[in-house]
Amino acid sequence: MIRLGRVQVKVIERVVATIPLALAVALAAFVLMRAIPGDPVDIMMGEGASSSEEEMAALRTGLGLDQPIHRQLVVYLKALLRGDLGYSIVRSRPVAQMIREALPATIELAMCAMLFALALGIPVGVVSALKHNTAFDRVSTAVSFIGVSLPAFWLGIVGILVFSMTFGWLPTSGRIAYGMEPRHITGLLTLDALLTGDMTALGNALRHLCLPAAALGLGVAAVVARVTRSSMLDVLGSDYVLFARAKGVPEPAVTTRHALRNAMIPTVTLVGLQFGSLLGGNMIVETIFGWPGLGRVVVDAIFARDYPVVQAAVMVYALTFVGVNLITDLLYTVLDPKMALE
Amino acid sequence: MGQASLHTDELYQGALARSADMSGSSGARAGFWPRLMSHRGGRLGLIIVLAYVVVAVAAPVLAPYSPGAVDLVRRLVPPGLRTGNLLGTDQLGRDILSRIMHGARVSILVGLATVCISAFVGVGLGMVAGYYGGVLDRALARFTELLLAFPYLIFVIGAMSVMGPGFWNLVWALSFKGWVEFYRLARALVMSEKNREYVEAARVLGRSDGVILTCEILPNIVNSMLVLGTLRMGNMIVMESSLSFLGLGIPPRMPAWGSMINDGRRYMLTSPWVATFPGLALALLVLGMNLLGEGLRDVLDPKMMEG
Amino acid sequence: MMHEVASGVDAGAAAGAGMLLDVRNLHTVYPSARGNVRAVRDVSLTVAPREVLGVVGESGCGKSALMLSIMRLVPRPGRIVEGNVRLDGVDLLELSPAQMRDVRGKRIAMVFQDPMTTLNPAHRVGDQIVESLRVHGMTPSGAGRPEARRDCLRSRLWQGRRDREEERDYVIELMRRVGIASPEHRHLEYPHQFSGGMQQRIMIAIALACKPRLLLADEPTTALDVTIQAQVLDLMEEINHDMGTAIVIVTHDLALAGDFCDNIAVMYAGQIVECGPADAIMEDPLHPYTRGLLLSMPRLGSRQPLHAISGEVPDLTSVGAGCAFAPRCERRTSRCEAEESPLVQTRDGRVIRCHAGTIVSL
Repeated sequence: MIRLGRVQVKVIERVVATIPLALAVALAAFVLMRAIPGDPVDIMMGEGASSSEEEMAALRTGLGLDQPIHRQLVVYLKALLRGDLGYSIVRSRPVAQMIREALPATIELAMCAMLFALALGIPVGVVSALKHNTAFDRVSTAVSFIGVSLPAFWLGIVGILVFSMTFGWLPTSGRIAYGMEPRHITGLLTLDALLTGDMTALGNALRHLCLPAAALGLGVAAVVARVTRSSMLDVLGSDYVLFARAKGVPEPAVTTRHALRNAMIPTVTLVGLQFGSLLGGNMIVETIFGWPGLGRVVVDAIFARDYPVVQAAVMVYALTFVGVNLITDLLYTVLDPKMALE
Repeated sequence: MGQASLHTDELYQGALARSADMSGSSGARAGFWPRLMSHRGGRLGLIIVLAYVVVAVAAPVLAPYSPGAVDLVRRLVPPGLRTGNLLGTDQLGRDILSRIMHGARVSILVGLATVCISAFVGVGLGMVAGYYGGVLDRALARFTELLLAFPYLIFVIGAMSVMGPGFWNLVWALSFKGWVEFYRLARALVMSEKNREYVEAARVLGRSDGVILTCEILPNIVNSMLVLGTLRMGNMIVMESSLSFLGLGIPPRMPAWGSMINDGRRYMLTSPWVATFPGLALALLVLGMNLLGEGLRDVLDPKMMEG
Repeated sequence: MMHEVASGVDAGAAAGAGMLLDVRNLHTVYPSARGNVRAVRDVSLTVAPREVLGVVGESGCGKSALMLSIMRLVPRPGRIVEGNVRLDGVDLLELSPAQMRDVRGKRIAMVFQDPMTTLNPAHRVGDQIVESLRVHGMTPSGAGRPEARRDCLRSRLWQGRRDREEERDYVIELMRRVGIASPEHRHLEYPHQFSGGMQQRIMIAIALACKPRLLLADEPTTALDVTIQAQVLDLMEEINHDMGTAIVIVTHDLALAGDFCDNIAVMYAGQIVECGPADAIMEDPLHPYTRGLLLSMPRLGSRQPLHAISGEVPDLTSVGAGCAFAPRCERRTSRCEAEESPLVQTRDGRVIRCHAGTIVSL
């Protein structure tokens, strides 16, 4: 019998509690595609369709849309448990395979965008708080404000204009130059390049990542900076920081050992929630940059009226989001001992 | 989209943390306008938003050209003061400035409609759930948790892909997830308000629950809703643009900033103005809304949001 | 004890000699939107080695600001604008920030009112106690010696593990000393796992780690239950007796000060209005404010209605030339409203700031 500490029990509890949610998400994806007004077949055929009734009926059968809804649901769930996400109408391939191929690219982009946002946002927020009311603070606050208001897809386009077309510093699209792909291990090109020691590939992949990650991450960076700043300001004015100073703790240690740890807690929640907006923007940014990830698959599928793909992709996105929130939840137990033992 | 969701979580957490000693916010009505005017950010935001609203309303009159007027002779004219097209023309010779002005109507309408519907539903449900608790509260908690598992844009794109483009489709799709934020905030606020003395007093006087909710509690939470609505509207507008960028928003014959940006993508190298100006217009409006929202929050309820 | 600051008398060397803490003419100001809040106005006091001084006053009288000023921890934009704070003859206000940091925690320590918010919730209590030692580069055996430092890097590394054991033992012993049960287990716990009284003891343990000569306590028992209050005060008394640490305790509770302290300084509106031996003040308060405070204390068994001091504490942004207490004073004269009284020494070694008080003492 393994002895489990209180914290480990909490972790397992949280993980288990997520399972019903995941199930509900799968269900909801199904409902989303079926229950909202609009006949998929109609839309697939387009307005003013010249297709015949037979063609439409055949399509309906092919999609399984002629079955009563509870039958459809059962079929769907059974397939899901097998790992079968359906069949793409347009590409005649299993959807699961399409998603599996495209997902690493999206993960790589999303992670880089988030890392970028944190690497930029947290230091700016902390320094702004430490230098409260100085020029740096005012400027960074204004810039964050603007940063939040700029839509990611527009940033991406402008970024391409400035950095790729005008200055030629960065590539306009794609993940890596043709023929430079490192050996495939994880699917994350940067990681693969690192693992195989292929430095030129790594450099190239990173250059391709710059603009998309920045476009996606800038808005989040702005929010992170604002939240970190105000949380840090709160903490710096708190009693335990005063007490630490009264003990004679030098300022740098006050900032890092006492203030930062507690100030980071709201930032952690925020990261989890912002990831959702990151996933949303991901679709559009991938389209702009020709990034071969899930987002581009979805957008192509939407235009091609490829519903099984859209349905599966929506579900995958949502599940990813749930997973990320679970992870941030668990991160709490590390940062805040009080929460861990509750 | 990638529109960073600015304030909701903070609003929610701040509302939960509110202590009972917050003075009645409706009292802040007195002197509201002077205070808003003296708030630098809020003033600027208000000016920007009003400017956009005026332009949107008066677009048919103000716009120098008809937004749909195709002129293949004057394709991709660069912006300039003397060329006759202040912001240039697009690939079909249509005047960009006029299209931007007309696009403002769509965006603002979508934002307004969505926020109104979301607020109505969200506040209504939130007040009932917060006040009575019980089965409804628990059921809605589960439901909203599920809804929240879907990133906003993903959900809306999924919905729109099945419903097809259209103004009301878009508004419904946006509202379907949009009400949740209002719900959570209203519920949290009602839960903290319902234990306060004035509610107790009203109950003792024999007022019915419905009257208490509408006449006593509602005025006290209206301010927070106003702030949330303003901040959210910017978000909605960006999403509308994102969707029309993808061709999923409003019907393509109406000018929309998102689709203008999409059209202009192809010509970025040679004629960058086609995509850049609509984007600037969008960014400026969102900036204005955020400034206004923050100004409102500082003036109406500074304690509402900590962190 | 107080020393006179009345004009014309050179308090200088005679009065300040041998004092552990010697505060002279301290002025601290907090700028605010409404104007400058003069939180500490011309305060002078001394603390002898091993003395227990109580600083008594209502909320907003400036007693906390005074403590923060002594520690040079006045939060910006507040600042000390005038005066001296001498510790063992050295003016703290003239030290560099690094030197002042050396003083804090090592030579003067401070405990605060609410241990729940003052102890860092994310650190174990043992670590928080040890931190006091480490930031001053001290080993447990070196604690108490002003210049003890681990100088040699090599010996520092070599000693690493031994030091950690030594530190742990010291922490456990210190926790035991302040009355926490099972310290050998509990030093690994977090603050929220302790009760309020225990937390306060931990804070005291942290303060005592480097064996400071002076302990400032800002309302240390206000947030505690009455029975726990007594325990914590007993602890502080033990420390004063055993370790020879002088204590300055800030409180709004005159009765507490009367029981616990050797001397009492009464503050009002940023100034000292009366100061002297605790017994003398409790038995025969001279200043009208002190009298009011004493009379408004409920007494067990008494059926008399509580006496209240009429009026409100003045706005410290707009202090006039007259006595600050005058609007509320039963014995005010026109002279009081026009002119503030300086601190005057009375015959039995007390000091008082009142025109009328000097007459009464005869």
